[in-house]
Amino acid sequence: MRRDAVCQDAVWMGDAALEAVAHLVRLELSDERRAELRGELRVLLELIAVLDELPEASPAG
Amino acid sequence: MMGRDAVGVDAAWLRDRTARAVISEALDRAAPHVGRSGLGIFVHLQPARALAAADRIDAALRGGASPGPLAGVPIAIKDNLAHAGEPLTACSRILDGYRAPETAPAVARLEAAGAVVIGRTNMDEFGMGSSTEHSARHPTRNPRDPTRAPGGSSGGSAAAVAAGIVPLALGSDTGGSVRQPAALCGVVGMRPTMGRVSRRGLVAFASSMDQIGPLARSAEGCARALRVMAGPDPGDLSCCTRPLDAPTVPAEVTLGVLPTDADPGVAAAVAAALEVLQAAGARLAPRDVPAAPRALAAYAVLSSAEASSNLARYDGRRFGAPLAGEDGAALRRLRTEGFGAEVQRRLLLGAWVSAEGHGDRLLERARQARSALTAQLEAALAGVHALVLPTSPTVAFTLGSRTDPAQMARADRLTVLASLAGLPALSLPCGVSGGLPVGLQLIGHRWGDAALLGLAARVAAALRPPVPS
Repeated sequence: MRRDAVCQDAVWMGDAALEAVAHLVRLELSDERRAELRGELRVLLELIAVLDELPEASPAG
Repeated sequence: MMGRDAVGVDAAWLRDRTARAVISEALDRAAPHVGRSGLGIFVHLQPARALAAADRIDAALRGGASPGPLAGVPIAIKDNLAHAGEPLTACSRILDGYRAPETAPAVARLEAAGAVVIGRTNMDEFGMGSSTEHSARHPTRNPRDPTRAPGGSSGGSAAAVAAGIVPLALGSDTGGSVRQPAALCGVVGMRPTMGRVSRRGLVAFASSMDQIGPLARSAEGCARALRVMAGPDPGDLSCCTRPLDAPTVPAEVTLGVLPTDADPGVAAAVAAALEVLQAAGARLAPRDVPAAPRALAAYAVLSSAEASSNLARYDGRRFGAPLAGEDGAALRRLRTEGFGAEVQRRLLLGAWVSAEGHGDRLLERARQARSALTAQLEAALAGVHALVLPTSPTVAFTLGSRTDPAQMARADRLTVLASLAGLPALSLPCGVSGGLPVGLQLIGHRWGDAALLGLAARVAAALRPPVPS
């Protein structure tokens, strides 16, 4: 199973990245909320990382 | 429980009764379930407007005019559908105080056919959720077991039908938000082909997948609603001009069976239903969709990215609660206080996967997966009348039991297939597991909406009686 650097970044989104995207979508994150989000987003990013773990799709399957 | 089914919805719905009496009774049934009371189904009732509409129908009848094919049918609509002058909040605090400036054509067409909107139903905020627990108002309880969630995000609409308050309700389905609550509440819910029903007046979540759909106690009830709602809308260029197909059902039905990883009780109920259908003459053909394991990830990426863009419009100027100041901090405070935790998670995820140099590759992968999935589903439909699989991998779950957002997201893994492909799909009750309803999902051919509903009616007739009362 392969997980490339893109998904490593995604799965391990750090505080700086979280703050940057919060700025993009105009949200303020308290320290407590940021801590919660780190865990919540991590499980979601692990869920979507499957896109990089599987081979390229072909319409024919 | 209501004695009449939407099967009988037509000019004869009223029989010898007045529309006022019928609508009054529906309002009486709804009243104990507004806000946190009862099952928490409604966020708003509109008795004066509903009774005035009923009086107009009665006057038309007295005058010998045709009151329409849905005359006097009480309906409930999800709180993300515009009804001119009524609150429109998508169950979000950020839209507190906002009232719809117009009526969504899907609703207006039902009203023109004689249906009467009695109220607005609870939902997960902006449609983001699978339990109706992510409403900014309150949770909704499942009429089959009030300790459990009704599913979501159209949980209020599904519960309104399941509780016998209305025979017909409207929901919206982005990743399964009509079909999944229909399954968990034991009713029928349909997502039409993308483009079949105008989406004007629907609060946007993920525009490439958002669709309005009916929930009823039978496929015939959904068919009657769809017949009225379908059709072109010059105000929604994503809405197709193609006429609704004929509700033809072949003499010999062939169903393509998709493999799934549903819970054992759900899988057993679906397998038993397929055996009944086979005994009744249906042919079953195994089908495979290799891209299916990536569908949920693709959906999470695409829907979050679209939501992040769509919800940028809530800036305190055009909609809902006003800004308390003109600086950037005021806007951030407004959005932080106005959006719930689930919406915030999806906005952050959407911004992340859209960010150049980081997640944008995931976005491209998600688009590729969607294209592959669509092609494979179309191929799997060749030679069969519909694909069949469970609607939800589980039965209704206990309220508050799903705190992991990924676990909640996985509730959609069997419904996002049709959503990503834009195909019509529906859920109908097919059995029980642990005393709770199990939904059978049928995915139909593109633009074959009426045929799919006709097929569902035949399937339901073969399976009857599958649902606990």
